[in-house]
Amino acid sequence: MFEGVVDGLALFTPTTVLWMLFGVLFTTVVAVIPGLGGVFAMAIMLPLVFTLPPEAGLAMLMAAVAVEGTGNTVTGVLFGVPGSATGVATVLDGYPMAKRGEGARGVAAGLTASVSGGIFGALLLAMLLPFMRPIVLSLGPPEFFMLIVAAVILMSSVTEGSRLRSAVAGLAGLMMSFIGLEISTGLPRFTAGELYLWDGLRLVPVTIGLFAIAELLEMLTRGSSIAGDAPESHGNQRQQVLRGMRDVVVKWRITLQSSSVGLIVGMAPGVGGAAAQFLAYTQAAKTSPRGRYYGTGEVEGVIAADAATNAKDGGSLVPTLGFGIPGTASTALLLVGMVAAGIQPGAPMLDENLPITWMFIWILVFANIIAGVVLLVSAGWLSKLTRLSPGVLAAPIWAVSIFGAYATSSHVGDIVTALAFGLVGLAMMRLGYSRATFIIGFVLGPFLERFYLLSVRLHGWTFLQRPIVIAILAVVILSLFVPLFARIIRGFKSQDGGEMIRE
Amino acid sequence: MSGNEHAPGLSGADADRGGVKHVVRDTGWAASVTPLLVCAVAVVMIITALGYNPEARRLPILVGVPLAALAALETGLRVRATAVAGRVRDGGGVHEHSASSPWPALGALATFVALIGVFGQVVGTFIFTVGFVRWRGELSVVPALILAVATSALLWLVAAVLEVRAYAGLLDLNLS
Repeated sequence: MFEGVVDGLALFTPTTVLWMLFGVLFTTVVAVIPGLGGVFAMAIMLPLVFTLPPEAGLAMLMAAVAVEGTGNTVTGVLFGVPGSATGVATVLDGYPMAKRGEGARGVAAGLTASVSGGIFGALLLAMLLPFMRPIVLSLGPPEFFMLIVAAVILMSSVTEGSRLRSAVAGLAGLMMSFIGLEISTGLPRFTAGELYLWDGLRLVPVTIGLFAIAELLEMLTRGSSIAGDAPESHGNQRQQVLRGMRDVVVKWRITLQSSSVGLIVGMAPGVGGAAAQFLAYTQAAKTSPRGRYYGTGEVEGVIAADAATNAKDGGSLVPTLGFGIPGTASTALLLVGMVAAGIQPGAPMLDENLPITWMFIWILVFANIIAGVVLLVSAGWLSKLTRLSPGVLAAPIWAVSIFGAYATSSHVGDIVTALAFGLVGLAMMRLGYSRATFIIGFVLGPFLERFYLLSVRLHGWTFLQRPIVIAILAVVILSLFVPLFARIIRGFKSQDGGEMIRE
Repeated sequence: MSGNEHAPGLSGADADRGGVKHVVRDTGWAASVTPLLVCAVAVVMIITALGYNPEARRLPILVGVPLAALAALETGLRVRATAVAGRVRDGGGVHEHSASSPWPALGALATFVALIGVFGQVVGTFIFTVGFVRWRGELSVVPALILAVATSALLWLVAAVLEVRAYAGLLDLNLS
């Protein structure tokens, strides 16, 4: 199996390297533009595959798969505008960091985590190759359903306001996700007769409204820049960049944990990067001692989200290469490119096409490093934009945000959605409802329903008796009740202490 | 009180900023009406869901019922907090001031949307950026014009190069 390592490297001819670089740079630039994202960049590059040598075309597409979520970090952290759905969780802590004057640190931490996650994903993919088939087969809809239930239950940990308001926001997000065609019958649900709503509320306009438009409204009302009156005491831009990079090394446990979650979720066909980010984020929020600060500008939140985003690419290659089942939209386009280049997925990828598989793994590593370095170099001066007056920033950011919202489907409804959720976001900010939990519920809702229906149809209610399902449920119950018992015990101890003092 | 919970009368936005500099009155009518509105929407969605087939309605009802219940609980808590805050204020214990009004910002956004609606994204962005940057950014004409041209040119370039449609507006000014 590992004899393909060198054969994979041998495929890196100058032409292949050149097109890989093109894939990295083009995708990184396009992914920074809100609403477009890496998948959009891949869709534009796809026709080139038909004209290029197979290895060069596939290297270009694979590089795009590897870095499609990396560019999101810059706009997500600095302006609260996610480039695509896979950048939403980064905003939750990244943007508050920018508001504190730590934009460069947030961007550097996010990018370094992205690179680390991407490399970790590639390494794990390499190690998983021999066990690819049994792993994919062991995780079915029941396991993914229970993982999402766990995330939904634990999401009240990601609090911006009170726990109760956080839960209301999360459940409201779930309810909003049920708008659109119902997946089992294909009948419209909660659409009020509007054709636009048949596809449901689109994530990008909703996110742009909740975060970008609402934040700028609040900023203009406040009259201060993104970083506000935050002191320059966080060091100059270069020091911040170095500090952000060091954060990822110091918080290595969060990086590894979130990368693992991203990799596992990436293996589930159709789940996507947004779910991987949020599952990793909620998991990190629950397990970290600093979990209660998540959503308020905690660097760990940025690391967790971004490490998972790029690690999931390694995971999504498992079903794509192993079975020809794409795990995400980007791997679906990669699959189209593979077929166009005459490369068949499945068993041949572990046999005669093994060098191609290893070339993909190498590209995951190289592309992540190149994109990370390019963006890290520019992180310092980009972060200076957060100190500009809102009167200067608002117009260009609103323009790009509304353009991004409209670009997702070229429907005026997307602009209306973005504006409506801008007002909702402003109200949520002012009244203390967590926008983070709302968006987590909104992202995970469709997956929750899909895996629930699949689980019941495939296994009946016995799906709850599967060992991995029981294990996940046990972890959730423990993580909910252990802190409660600990608090009760602490209460008893302090009572005893008080009585002893009185005595 | 955990680090994430606010003192009564303190909004999430204030907590984000450290929760000490500004005390925004969120014990007013908006804080009580909002969860009531959420509760009403949840109830309407539950009632609507009852008309769907069993598979289509199961999750909306499973999620909607706790949402309605928690929103109702929040309404009750806010109403009580309003009453308590009123008593404390009457006794001189709290000095509140309202947050800055968001209406000028909302007005600016509405103007921008109206300009986009009439002139399309590229031209509407140019007109709005020049005016807004002059008015709120307090830049002189030349930097405002440069920023406006740069922003509009970026939108036009992205639309033209990547073949993305920019909204052309009622005047159908499709420059891309």
